[in-house]
Amino acid sequence: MAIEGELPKPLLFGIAAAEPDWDAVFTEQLPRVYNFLRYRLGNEALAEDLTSRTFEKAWSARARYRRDVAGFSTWLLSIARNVATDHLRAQRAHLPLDAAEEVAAPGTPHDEVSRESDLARLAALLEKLPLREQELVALKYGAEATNRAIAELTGLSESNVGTILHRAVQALRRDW
Amino acid sequence: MDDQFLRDLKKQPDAEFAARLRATLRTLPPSAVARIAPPARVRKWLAAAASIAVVGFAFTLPPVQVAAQAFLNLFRVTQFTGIEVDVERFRALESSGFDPSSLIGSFELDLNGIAEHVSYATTADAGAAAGIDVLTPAWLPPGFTSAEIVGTPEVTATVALKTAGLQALLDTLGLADVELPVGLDGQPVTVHVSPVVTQRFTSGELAIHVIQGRSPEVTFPAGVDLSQLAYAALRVLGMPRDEAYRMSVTIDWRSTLIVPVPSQAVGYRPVNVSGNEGLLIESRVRDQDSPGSVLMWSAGGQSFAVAGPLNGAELLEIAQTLQ
Repeated sequence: MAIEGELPKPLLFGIAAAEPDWDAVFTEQLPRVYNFLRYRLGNEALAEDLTSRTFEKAWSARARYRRDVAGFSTWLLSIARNVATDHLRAQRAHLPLDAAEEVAAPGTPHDEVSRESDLARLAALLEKLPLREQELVALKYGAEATNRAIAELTGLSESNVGTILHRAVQALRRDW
Repeated sequence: MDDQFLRDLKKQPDAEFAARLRATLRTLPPSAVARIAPPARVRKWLAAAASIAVVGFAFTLPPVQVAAQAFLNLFRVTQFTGIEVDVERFRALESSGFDPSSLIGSFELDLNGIAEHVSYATTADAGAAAGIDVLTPAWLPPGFTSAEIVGTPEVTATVALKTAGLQALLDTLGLADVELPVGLDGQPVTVHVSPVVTQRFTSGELAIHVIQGRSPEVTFPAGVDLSQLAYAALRVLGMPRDEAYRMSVTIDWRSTLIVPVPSQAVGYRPVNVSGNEGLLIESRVRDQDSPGSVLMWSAGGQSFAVAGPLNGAELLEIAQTLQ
């Protein structure tokens, strides 16, 4: 059942006649937003919290989403970016510690520990990069956004996105 | 480029988390949308829209540029209203890598074949060229004398806005409550600025500018909801949602200029200039590097600005003695 089916019709004005299947959108976009925030923050629990916040914001505002202006994914990621930026602005100093705690979480299966350990490693390496490069890496590899979509989101040119990402990945690869 | 190590770190969200979030979303109604007046028809005048981006930054420019740059965007107004903007907000936007050129699809500037600025020997000559009666101040602070009279010719600029770029700006600023007007994308917005006369008075390194001219004509595409556009602009400038909505639906956007005022640098207040309501923006710094203060008002079909490193009382005195 589509999520907006639960809502009174008067609250749904502004959604185009051929509106998205919100249930499918949720299923498709949740992993992208979640992984974007994992890569961006290097912390599983925090990524869940901020993913919730992102979807709650987007869901509340979805009547204002216009498909002729931007793809839903782009719109959603732009909200996720803002949510992450707001959080980092307030909490940046605590990130490495959070990531370390995440690695030490008890009772996690071996492969999960390994992946989370790698995530913490990545978080530590990303910390050394400029903020813009950190965000581009999270958009590219966490959200699986194309260079064109990243360019749309950030206002950078597509070629500039490619150049910055290449440089960032090289730096990460070198220290990995 | 070997980036597999980055791709391998992805994982699916925990199923319980996904189910919990899905359940939460089902309980959320969409937030109320600021639905604003019906679309405006045919030609509209909106001095505010043309100036809104420029004036806010004008105070970061050298004094000589400030007054002229600001004033070119102030015409065709009978009311001035200041709103506070946080300059840090725009600095953060700039440092985020946001490209302002993404807001504009095309830009054409027609200078009507005339040189950019022309110096005149007298105000009568400048007024004749501009088609206005140029007023001069009967009072100036001690030490200031006339240094230059400059005419700026008429300019017509046509800008096509890109709603994708505007939407990206809104998203970058986290303004999910703002809906851009329908019919704006790619449509030309034309600003026609009539000739402007600037009188410059100097005392050492300090300068006062007295600027006047007819109001510019701003033409928007038919059907663009000016209130809705104003709401977007006010939100971009940092105004809280409720206040922006109230202002967007109560102000006559065809005659009112919104002047963004950098909150940390200056104070502002409405003032009465010979029976006309004006807006006084006072700088808290007085030196040759400061843009100083600006007083703007409209009277008799013309708009005026007096700018310089002075206090409000001095600017008002100059304004009230124009003759």
